[in-house]
Amino acid sequence: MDRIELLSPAGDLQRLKLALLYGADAVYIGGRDYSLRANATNFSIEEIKEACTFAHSLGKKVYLTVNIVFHNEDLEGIFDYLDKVVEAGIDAFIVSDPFIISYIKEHFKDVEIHVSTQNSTTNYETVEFFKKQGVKRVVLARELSKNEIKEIIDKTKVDIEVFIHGAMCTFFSGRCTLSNYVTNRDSNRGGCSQVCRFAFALKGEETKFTMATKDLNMAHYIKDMIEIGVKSLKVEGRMRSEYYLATVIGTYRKLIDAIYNDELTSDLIKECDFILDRVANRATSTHYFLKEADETDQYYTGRQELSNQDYLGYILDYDEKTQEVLLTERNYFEPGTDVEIFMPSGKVIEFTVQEIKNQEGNILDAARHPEELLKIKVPDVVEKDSMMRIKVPRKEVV
Amino acid sequence: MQLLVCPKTKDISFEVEQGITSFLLGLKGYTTNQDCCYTLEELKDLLNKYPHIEVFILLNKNLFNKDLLNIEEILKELDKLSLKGIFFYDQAILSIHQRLALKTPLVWNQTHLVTNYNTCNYYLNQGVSYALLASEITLDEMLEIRKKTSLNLMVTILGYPVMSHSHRKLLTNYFKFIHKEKDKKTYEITEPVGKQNYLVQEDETGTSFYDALLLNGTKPLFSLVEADFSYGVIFEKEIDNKKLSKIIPLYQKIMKQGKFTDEEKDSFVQEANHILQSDSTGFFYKRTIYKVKKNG
Repeated sequence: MDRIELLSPAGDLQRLKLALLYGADAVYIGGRDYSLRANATNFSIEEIKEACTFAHSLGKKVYLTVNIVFHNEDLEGIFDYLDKVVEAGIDAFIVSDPFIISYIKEHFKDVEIHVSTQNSTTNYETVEFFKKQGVKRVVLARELSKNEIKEIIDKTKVDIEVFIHGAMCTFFSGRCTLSNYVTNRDSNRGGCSQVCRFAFALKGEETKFTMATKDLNMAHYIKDMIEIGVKSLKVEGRMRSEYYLATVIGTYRKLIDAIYNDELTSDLIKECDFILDRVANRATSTHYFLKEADETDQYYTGRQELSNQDYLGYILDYDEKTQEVLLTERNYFEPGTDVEIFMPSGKVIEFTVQEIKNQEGNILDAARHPEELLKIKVPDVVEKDSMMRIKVPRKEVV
Repeated sequence: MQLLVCPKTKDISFEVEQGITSFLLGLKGYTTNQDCCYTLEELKDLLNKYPHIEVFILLNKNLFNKDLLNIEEILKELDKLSLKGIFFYDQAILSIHQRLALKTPLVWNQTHLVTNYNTCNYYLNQGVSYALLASEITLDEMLEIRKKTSLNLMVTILGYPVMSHSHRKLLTNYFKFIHKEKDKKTYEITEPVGKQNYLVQEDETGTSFYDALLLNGTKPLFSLVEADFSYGVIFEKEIDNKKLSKIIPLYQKIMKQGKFTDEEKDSFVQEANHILQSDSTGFFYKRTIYKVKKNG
């Protein structure tokens, strides 16, 4: 039986490589045009080629989002673009505007078509409709319960992808143009200005009216997803940082592997929960999976989006002789700081920083300059592309 | 070009008196963003009472698994009523329509997604007959679509534009949070920076947000008529009959006569602005942006 897929976002080549190294089975990316994150860095054709070569060398896949809602002016050049990205090696298109489906079907027999969540597919008949059009996979709307997802899978046998982690839209995807009306930025062409996170005055009431939702976190229900036959688990966030992606993907990788290896324990879930909570800057919920979403899934006035400085450094190299790592500093730390290094393989080592040296070998009293190259001694072998973070006592709350 | 009116009450005698013959009607349980929805029985009664009118049915909510069995039966029933068409949002309706080989013409009505001629042609190839264009595209885009598809096209020319629709009960949730009762149908919210107002309504399908600026499509209407659009749609929600009784004859005159001098057009526009107390042309002449920084 195929194992469930862990699908990561990637905003650029560096994050794509990290996501794959940290355990994603596939990544979804946007090109410089036609993608719903118009203001992410996104990928040129050359970068898409490099991304595919890298992913395929690991036996992994790259999906390309072509999921804007096209206006006439966007149509020019689209088919040439599709030809080029197929040549670059992508494994699937994620589309929302259905005219593209016919073209892909006709011209590229080996490239899968996935229907984007932008279509807000909420029932099995609609999935059947796309199946007849030649679609291989449907990314379901985020408004569905476990039972509804299961019924769709049972009735259609189409590959189903669901979101498991990250920011949620307040509105049905594709059914929101608040951004257009309030800020003149086209939400369905990648310009969403997240008006749903604004606080509005409601006539006659003192308390601000907000509609923002908590983030999604399905860490406790991955086993359920596997059991009902979900094909792919999608993490949101093509504009998220390398640290966020490595942490979230690495954590879900650990959970998924533990489930398949029959090693899932409540302690592991608790630990994963803690790690996921630390890396997020919003509270989370499971939204529609177990019940109708209600006031407990939303934020109201007074919430704060706190970012911590847990991420201390990106490991560039490890010297076996000196047992030192070379890292790029991300946030302040000093000798005596309790830290942990988490690695692409999932391995974690914990230790206390003893001595910090700069590249010239001078001893520093603290790491104060983000992006500075530093050396510190570590107690064990460290993999390249590992990351160092503050070791936070597990009882502490952000 | 004809007027197609989506009425705000079940009693359409006022509109009939105004000479309206084409109606867009909601169906209870399957329509969103509308105040007034009919049951199947009420619809049959209405068709008996007004045999000369043409009726489109608005089925624009997102359908869930539990809706599917009923909707299949309803579509079969609707197919017996010689309707002018069925507006659909969810492709499940198109799928059922194809599977059962139903005869009633379909109208592609995915609100904000009806934005280009290629997708119009895709739905044309799927057997769809009409499309209601998105209100977030420009008049020039609409005219280009007109040139490049054979679908019959409709454009909203009057109404408070729906901006977004959520499955969540956002008003109920808010009032629970502030420990008060939700006691109104429509609430007004104000955006803090631009100070623009918006309307919020909640029903059993979720919560919808509307622009509080009344869309006044009089100015583009001349071009739409000349380009042979099929229907100009009026969504009556929140518009009082006093305004409607004045603006409908004006629109009828524009649609009937077709050709006007620039001075005459200006005069109509001024009159409409005065009647509606709004000169908002929405996105007819305003392009949205979506890239706010240079990307590579």
